[in-house]
Amino acid sequence: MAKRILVVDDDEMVLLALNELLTPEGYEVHTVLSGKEALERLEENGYDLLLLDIIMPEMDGYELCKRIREREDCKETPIVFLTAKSREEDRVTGLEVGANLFLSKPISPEKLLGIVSDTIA
Amino acid sequence: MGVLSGPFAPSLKAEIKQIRVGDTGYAYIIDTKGILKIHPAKEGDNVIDSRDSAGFEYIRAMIKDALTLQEGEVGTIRYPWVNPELGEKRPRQKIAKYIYFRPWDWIIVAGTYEEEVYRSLYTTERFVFVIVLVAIALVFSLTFTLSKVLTRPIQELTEVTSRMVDGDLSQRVKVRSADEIGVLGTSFNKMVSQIQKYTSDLEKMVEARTQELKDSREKYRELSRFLNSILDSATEYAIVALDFYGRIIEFNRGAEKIFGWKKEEVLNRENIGVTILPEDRERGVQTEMSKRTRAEGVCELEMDRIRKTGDRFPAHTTVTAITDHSGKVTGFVEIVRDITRRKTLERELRETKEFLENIMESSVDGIVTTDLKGKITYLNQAMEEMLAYQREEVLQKHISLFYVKGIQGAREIMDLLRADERADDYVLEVRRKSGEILTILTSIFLLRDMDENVLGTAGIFKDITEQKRLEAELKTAQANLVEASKMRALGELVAGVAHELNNPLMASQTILHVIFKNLHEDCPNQERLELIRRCNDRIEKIVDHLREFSRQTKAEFELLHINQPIENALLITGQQLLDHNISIVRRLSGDLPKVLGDSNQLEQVFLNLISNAMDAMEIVSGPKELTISSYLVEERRSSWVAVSIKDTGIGIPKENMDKIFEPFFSTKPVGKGTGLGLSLCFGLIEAHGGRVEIESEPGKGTEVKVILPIRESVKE
Repeated sequence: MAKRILVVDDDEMVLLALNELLTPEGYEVHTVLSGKEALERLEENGYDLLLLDIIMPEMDGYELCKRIREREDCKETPIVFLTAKSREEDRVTGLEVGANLFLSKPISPEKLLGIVSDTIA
Repeated sequence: MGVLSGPFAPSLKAEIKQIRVGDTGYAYIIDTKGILKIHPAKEGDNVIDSRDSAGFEYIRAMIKDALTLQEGEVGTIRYPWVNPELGEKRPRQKIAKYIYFRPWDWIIVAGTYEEEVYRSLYTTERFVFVIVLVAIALVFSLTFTLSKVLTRPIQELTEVTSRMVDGDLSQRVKVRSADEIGVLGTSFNKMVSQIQKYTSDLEKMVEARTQELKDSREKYRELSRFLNSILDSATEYAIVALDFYGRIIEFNRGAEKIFGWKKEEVLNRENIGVTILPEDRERGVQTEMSKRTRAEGVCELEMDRIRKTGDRFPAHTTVTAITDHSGKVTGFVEIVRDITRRKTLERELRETKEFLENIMESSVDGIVTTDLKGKITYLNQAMEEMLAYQREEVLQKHISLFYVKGIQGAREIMDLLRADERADDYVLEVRRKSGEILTILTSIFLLRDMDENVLGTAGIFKDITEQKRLEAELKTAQANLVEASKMRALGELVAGVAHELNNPLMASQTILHVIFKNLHEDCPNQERLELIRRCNDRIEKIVDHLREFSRQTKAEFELLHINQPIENALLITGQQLLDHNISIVRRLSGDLPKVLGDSNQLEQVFLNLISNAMDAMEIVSGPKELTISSYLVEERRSSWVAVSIKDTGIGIPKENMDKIFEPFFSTKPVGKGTGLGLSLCFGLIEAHGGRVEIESEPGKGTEVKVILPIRESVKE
C-alpha cells in the first residue's frame, strides 16, 4: 500500500512540482492550498507524512502544525516544514510547535526524496 | 661903713671919674651886689634892678657874666638906652666893656653909645665910596663910547642872525666898510643865501618826513588797535606779558576770564607767581620756565594753575621770550589755555578705551584690527591664544601672515568688504604659529572715522575647527545611521524577494529533476534542459547570497583575538590564492588586545575581502601580492584594532568610490558577483561597532581597513 503524503502550500507551482516529484516514486500525494483544507483532509484520511509550508494566508504553518498535533490520530505522524524561511529562530519555532524536521527552500529534489523516504520508513 | 671902702684911695676915684669914652661915655665901678662904688653921678646907689629901655635887667646880667670871666678877660654887653634927661624919645644902642677884679670884688665898666665909638670909621667909609663911584662912572662912559664904534656891525649881525633864527632869511647885513668886519658881513650874507637854499630843501624834506611820520604813526595806531583787539578777542587764551622779573605788564581779557583777576588789579602790581600753585613756586618752577625760555626761546608745558579764587585747573602754557634789539631778554609772553575740558575728555576717552579694551580682552572670540594696508594694529588675548602668537610678534605684521591662502585670502576679503562694507559668517582657514590649521568663522567689517573715511578693518574670529570636526563626525554618524537603516530595509526586502523566488525556483528545479529522470538519453533537448538547469543553479546561488545577506541570525559575540578569523579565512582561501599565483604577505601582530565579535561573521567578512582582492588581481600582469596585517591604532584618545587587506590589483576608479558599499553595485562580470559582498561586510562590521575604510589607486591596488573597537570584557 502506497504511503500517503499530504502537502500543504499556498503556492500552486510548488504543489504541482512536488506531486510530479513524489508520485513517480510510488507515494500517494495529496495537495491542498490552505491549512483549513489540510485539516479537512485529515478528517477523511490518515497520512504517513505531512509537508507544510509556513507562510500562508489565514492560518500559517505553525498554527496548522499545532492544530494537527492536537489531534489524537496525528500525534506521531511525521511533520516536515518545507519553507522559504531559513532563520534559526524560525527553525526553533517550527520544532517547538511539533514538527520533526525543518527544511528551507529551495532544496534539491534528490535531497528531498532522500529525506522523505527516510522519514516514512 | 662909708661909701668908700676898700683899698682905693680918693685919688683913684677922681682918676676914674675923669675917664671919658667918646663924647658922652664914662667909666664906673660896681660891686657884685649892684652897688656903684665909683660913678660920676650916682655913686653909692644900688642899681642891681636897673632895666634898659627894652625892660631887660642888664646890670644883673652883666654882674652874672662878669663873675664867670677869667682874669684879664673882657666882657661886653650891649643894650638900648633912652636918656629922658636929654629929651630923647628913641632908644640908642649903648655898648659897655667890663672886667672883674676879684680881690676887691669890683667890676670895672666903661660904656658909651655905639655911634660915638664908630663915628670916625663911618667918615672914612663914605669917602672911599665916593671915590669908587666916580671911578666906575668914568670907566662906563669910556667903554660905552668905544663899544659904539666896535660893536655896531656885530650888533647888526646879531640882530640879523636872531631874526634868521626866527625864520626870516630875507634879512641882509648892511656892509659899511671894507675892513675885516666888512668882509665878515659879505661872507655872512653869502652864507645866509646858502642857508636859505638849504633850509628850503630841508623844509621840503622835513615836510615829506613829517607826512611819512604821520602816516606811519597812523599805521602804528591801526596795528596797535588791531593787535589789542586780537589780544582781547582771544578770550579762550590768557595772554600775559611779563617783565624780566615776572611782573605782569599786560593782561588780556582771556587772562581775566581764566585767572579771575581784573587787569587793573594785577597790571604792574602782581607777579605771574599769583597764578602758579604754591608748591610749584616752592619747587622753583618759575625759574625753571624762565631758564628754559631764555635758553630755547620758547617753553611749553602742561601744569596746574591757580585762579584768584584759589581753584586750581589744568593748563597748557607757552612762554616765549621778548628781546630787545640786541637780543637781550627783557621779558616774557605767556599764553595759557584752560584744558580742564580737554583733560576731562581725555580721561573719559581713556576710561571708555579701557572699558572697551576690557570687553575686547575678555571676549572668547578673537578680535583683530588692521590699518588700511592690512597691517595688524590690535589683537586681543583670545586671538593671541587662538594663533599661539605673542602680541608683539604680530603687531604691524600683515594680516595675511595667518591666512592659509596668504595675500590672496586677504584680497578676497577686501573685495567683499569693498562691495558690502562687511562680510559676515565668512569661513577661512588660518595657520597657527605651530603650523596647525584652524577653520575660522569670521565677521569682518570696515572701520570708519567720524567723517566716514576708512581707517582699516576689524574682524571677529571664532575657531570652529572643533565644531567642524564634530559636525563632520556627526555627519558621518548620520550617514552611517542612514546606511544602517537602509541596510535593514534592504535586508527585509531581500528576504522577501528570496522568499518569493524560492517557491518558483524549487518548483522549477523539482520539475526539471523529474524531466531529466524521464528523459531519453538521445533526446535532442537534453542540452537545452541542461542550460535551464544551469540557469536554475545560478538563480539558486543568487537567492542563497541574498538570504545570507538578509539573514538576521543573532551574532554570537565573544572576546576573541582578531587573528583567529583571519587565519580561518586564509585557510579556506589559501589554495585558491596560490592557484591564482598570488603571494600572501602576513603581518599579523601577535600581542593585540582582544575584540568582542562573532568569529563566523568576521571570518565571512575577511573571506569576502580576500575574495575581492583575488578578483581585483585576476587580470593584473604585474606581481600579485596580498598583504594582510593586523595592528593597533590610536585614534580619538582610544585604541583600536585594525586589519588591513591590501592587494596589487586594478584598483577602484574614483567615480566608483562612493558606490562600492551600495548593495547590488558590482563591476564584476554578470554571474560572478552579486554586488552584496562589501555591503554585507559593512553591515557586519558596523554591528561590531567598527568601520570599514577603503583607499584605492587605480592601476596600483586597493587597501581595505577593518577597524574594530577593543573590548577588555564582555560586559562592556
